Amino acid sequence: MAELTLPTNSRVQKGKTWKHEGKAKHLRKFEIYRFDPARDALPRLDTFEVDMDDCGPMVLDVLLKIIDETDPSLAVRRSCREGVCGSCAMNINGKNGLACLTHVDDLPRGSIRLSPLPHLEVIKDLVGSLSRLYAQYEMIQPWLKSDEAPPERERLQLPEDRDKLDGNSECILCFCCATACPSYWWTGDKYLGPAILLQAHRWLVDSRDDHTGERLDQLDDSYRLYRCHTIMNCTSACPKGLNPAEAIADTKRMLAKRR
Amino acid sequence: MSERDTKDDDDKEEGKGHSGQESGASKETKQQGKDAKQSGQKDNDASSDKDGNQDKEASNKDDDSDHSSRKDAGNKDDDGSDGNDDDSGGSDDDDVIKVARTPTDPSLLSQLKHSQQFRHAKGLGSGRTGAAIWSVQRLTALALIPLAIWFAVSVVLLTHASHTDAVHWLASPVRAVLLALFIVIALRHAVIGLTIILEDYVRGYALRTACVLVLKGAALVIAAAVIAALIHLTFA
Amino acid sequence: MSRPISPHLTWYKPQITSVLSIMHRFTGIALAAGALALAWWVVAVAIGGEVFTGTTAVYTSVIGQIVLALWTLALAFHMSNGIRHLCWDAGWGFQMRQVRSSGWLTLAMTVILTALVWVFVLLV
Repeated sequence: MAELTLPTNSRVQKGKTWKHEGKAKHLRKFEIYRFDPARDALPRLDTFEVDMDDCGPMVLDVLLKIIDETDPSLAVRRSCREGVCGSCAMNINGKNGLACLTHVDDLPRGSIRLSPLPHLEVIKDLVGSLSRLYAQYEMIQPWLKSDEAPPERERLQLPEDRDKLDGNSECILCFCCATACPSYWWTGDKYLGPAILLQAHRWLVDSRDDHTGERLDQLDDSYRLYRCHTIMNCTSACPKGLNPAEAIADTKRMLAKRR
Repeated sequence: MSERDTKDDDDKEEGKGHSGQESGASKETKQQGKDAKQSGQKDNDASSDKDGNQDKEASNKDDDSDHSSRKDAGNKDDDGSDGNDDDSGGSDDDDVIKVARTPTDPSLLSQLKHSQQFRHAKGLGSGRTGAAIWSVQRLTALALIPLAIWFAVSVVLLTHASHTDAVHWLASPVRAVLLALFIVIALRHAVIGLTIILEDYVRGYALRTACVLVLKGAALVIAAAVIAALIHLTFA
Repeated sequence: MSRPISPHLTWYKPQITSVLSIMHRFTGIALAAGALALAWWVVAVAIGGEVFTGTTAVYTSVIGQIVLALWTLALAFHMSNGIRHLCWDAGWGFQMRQVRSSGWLTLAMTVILTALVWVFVLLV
């Protein structure tokens, strides 16, 4: 059976509380998933109190402040802090999103819970292993495969054909969508998940690519593509406002049309 | 990029050099093998044994000299998934002098893990059945909309029916055919849906296949029973 | 070293997207079971006699009526949401705003269709 519950080594324990010292007007509590492979047998949930008057407005600001001032051992991926790199994707109050684009003030009152992207192997704290997703990305061969000889300058494309890439090529591979998909939780070893399928679609609709048929062959599998049950958690989670579910539906239509 | 370029070049050479399709085909499979491997490797002119070489390199480093504790740790990491190819050394060279191993370079291990994961993602290839089943599921769904509405209305009108009413209602050939269609199409739709659910949650191949077979068998029996009953009612 | 799996099902926020999807699955299973009851009814009519009266007695008992009512509910939901799914398959209604409103519309249709059927059954 697919494991619908967490295995015993993954049950989250109660952790430590890091109290804010001194007076603070706008204190907020952050419950953060912690796991250190060198020391912990089980993951735990630590609580940090942060004075929002003395901190930047975004969830990532809070995390960086905690690392700077409270607990330097907290592990977080981050880079651009403006929603372009996709590194700081995590589960914020039960929904996947980018810490750098999420306003603390937009989150409902009460404590805010931060955990790694769901159903990944946890490397440390908020850092989950993305290696399977990268392997699956590699599998769809995300590069242009043309039968034409390389031209001297760029490969030509009509503006309306270029428009078809809109909504596909803006993906930053943060994997908020893939790890929000229950289907990917249960069958992610074979199912490619929304992020990879959106990228597969990006090459399917590229007018310069000559391997559309082979690409479709590769996807025509009851697991790789058809584990998508149009749950729509992916589109709901995407921090860039893209629509992986729509791209997948289009891919399914392409496959139906060629039968 | 480089992958594609070399492929183009290879194809051209093939066209000029050996005429004949077989060599072209073998080239093709080799090419696919290369695609499968790739990761760290670029610019491969010597298209033949690239994979083999890499593995040899890895195992050579393994075989250099002493330390056995780390070797165990390394092996533990390896045996996680398929384990059909790759080094793990020892078994194939019987009469070679035994040499203890140095600790495996962690970067090699992570490279190995990546290529294992990559091979796992490729698995046994595409099943080529997804689109067909998907289409049947949608078509049966479409057919079931009017049939289900007709059926629901009929049942509502038959709520307080006596046995003679029911027999009379089912004895009409048109109704019998509609009802048979409804049940057969609904069962087809149900078998597809339930199979997908089994595929989602039941991991073991044998158990899952057994469940699917039971499901299909049950659906056949039900359909046969209903059709037999309808034939009996229409002609009796 | 075994890495833990990060929390998923129980921590992820239930949304109209995922809740309606799992309901579609549950109602599908319920309807498959209901197909058995329907098939049995047809067979019972063909056999007649005590088998038919017995079947009718079970189906018109209080528990039988409750099960049938739930089955109507399941059928109404599965059909409404199924139409929603067919629209998606045709490429329509993928904006999140549309997804949410069509979800609520599905729930409304479920209630209306079920009520319609049972008003007829109980009053007419």
